[in-house]
Amino acid sequence: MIDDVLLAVRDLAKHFPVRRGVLGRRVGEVKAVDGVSFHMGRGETLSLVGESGCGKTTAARTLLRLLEPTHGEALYRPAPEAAPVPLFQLPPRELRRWRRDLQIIFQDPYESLNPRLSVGQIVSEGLRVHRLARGREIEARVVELLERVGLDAGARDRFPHEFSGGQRQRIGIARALAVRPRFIVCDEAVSALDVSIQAQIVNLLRDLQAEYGLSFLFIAHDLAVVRHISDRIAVMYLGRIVEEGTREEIFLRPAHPYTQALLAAVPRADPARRRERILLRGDVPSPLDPPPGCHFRPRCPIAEEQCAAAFPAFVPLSPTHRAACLKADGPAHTGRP
Amino acid sequence: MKREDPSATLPRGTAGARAPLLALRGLCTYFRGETGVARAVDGVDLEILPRETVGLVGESGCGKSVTALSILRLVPDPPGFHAGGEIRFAGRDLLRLPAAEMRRIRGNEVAMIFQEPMTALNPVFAVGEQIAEAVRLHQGLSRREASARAARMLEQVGIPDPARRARSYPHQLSGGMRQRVMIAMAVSCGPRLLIADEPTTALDVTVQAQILALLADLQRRTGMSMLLITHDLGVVAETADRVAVMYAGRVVEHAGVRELFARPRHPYTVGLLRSRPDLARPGERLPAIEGAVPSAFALPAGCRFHPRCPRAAARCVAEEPALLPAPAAAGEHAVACHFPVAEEP
Repeated sequence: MIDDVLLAVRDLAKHFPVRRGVLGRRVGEVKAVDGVSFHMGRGETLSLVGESGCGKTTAARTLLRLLEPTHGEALYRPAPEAAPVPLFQLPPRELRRWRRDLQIIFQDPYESLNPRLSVGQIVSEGLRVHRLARGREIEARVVELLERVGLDAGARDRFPHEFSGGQRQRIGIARALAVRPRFIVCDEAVSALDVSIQAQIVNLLRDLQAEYGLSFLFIAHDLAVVRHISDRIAVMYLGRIVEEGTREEIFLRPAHPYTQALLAAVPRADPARRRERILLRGDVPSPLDPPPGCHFRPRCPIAEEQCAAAFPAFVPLSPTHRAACLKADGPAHTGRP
Repeated sequence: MKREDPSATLPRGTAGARAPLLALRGLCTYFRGETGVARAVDGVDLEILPRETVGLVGESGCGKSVTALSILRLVPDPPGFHAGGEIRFAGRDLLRLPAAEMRRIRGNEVAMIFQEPMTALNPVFAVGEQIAEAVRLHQGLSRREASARAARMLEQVGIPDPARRARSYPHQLSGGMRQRVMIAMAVSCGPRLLIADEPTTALDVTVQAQILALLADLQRRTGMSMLLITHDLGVVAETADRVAVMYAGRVVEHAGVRELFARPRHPYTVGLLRSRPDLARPGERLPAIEGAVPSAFALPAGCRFHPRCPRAAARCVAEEPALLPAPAAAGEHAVACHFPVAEEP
């Protein structure tokens, strides 16, 4: 178990109303995130993985209160001995103060960087808002940040459109780092990058983590990157975590049939070892109308009648490994390290 | 080896044994921009044999999609234009065909599927009608025969309840279903060549696996050839027979899929294969390729990869390497490098 918990999230939910007709009558709700609990250690990388619509991005954005949670609790502990800060109960003024510690890097740095601001203005905005530096100090800090992320000081006076995708992602990272955060959500931060550039950014993120003791909540669908960067992994399906464990546990001993199918579906860059895959039937069902019982049941190769009764409780498989499956009891599965 | 005959730069092996269905020789497609000319495709040599899948891999902007559009003569002109080379398909020179004849080939003998099916499907027609229209146009079937063919095609691509689904509109289908519809439309006329441009990039990984399995199955049943364009080395490793690697508008290496992954010769291919996170030990630094892809408006002199290449020497700056048979290669393997990597990295 983790001794130094930075963040503990309990029963996080985010439901969106679905409205129809000219009067905007509420006809239902989408439970985008439906009771998610996890915790993060200081300096740790936890990945939330799953396919589109599983709620991983919504969960992370709700955690930062970029979206207001429907219910749940998030306790943030800025230092090992500090009193926990209840993020979801903070009034706006208090929230602004703590937001400095909790930053986010987005998938598409082009859409998340204001095209009218120079790179210097983008990177220094947080310094000004949080009054972390003034006058000359700001300039010096911006140059230091740009150099730290591998851009040259001249980038300061240029605009986002003048940079390539990888460089723009570096700008986004410099902006997040400016306020000296403790925790960064990387929301598909390397997904849009070409593989040679992706490797550069992954290396940079790891260096920064080691240097500043950062914790990363890594939102991704690319399992190869996830395997490389994560300490622990939580697999989501239709708004819920279905399995959670250390990297070794998830990749070597996946216990939930969805995790197993997800790992088997990843194409291997090894033509000498082509194989028949476990092919899942169908698509991910609509979160508007999830199937009763276990949400994965309609696509599950080993589902039984009892799986329709209720959403399965977590089965503990080790102190760090749990899976929400009635049939998860054990070891021995074909994964790869 | 002389350079005058472009076919001489292609190694003879399995490729020489059968006549290629498609052969690109020194293909150049450029674009006029405000600041000059972008050499998006700049001397591409490529062959596809009957029944074969060739993977065309490379990073964004390397020219792989423009290569595909050039084959179908779908590059918008202006700003794009054909700047050299030839495209031979089943013995015909596609670049010299009259427009009407090209239309008969497009969608009929050569079909294409795209990354985002939503942009290729017409939103105001039911998907069954769209498939039926294609077969009516190309194969001269009656209305009734065409709709029966459409329903059969939807069934073949694994769409449940095809008769009902034929009446659905594109927005009513999931991403995976839409891609199946587009595949059904593409193969409905029995093409000899299917060009698939990033067909699974927008899909979730479990759905990607379904679509790749479907394409392989269709190919087995129909005997069509496939040009699979992707940035994903895993997808190539699992589906292609041969692979061509593109960088900055040119093919820099091509070989059989096992050979390419086991003994990459071009330093770019080596870098690309090594930078995959699934190979490194967890937590290790990834061996990244430093720098970024050059702009097609300002390609470096000599070898286009030399500014990023760990092996670059004076000759690489001065002289552009030709795509030649790799030294001491087992079987067919060509590389465009003055100093190809000798053994397994």
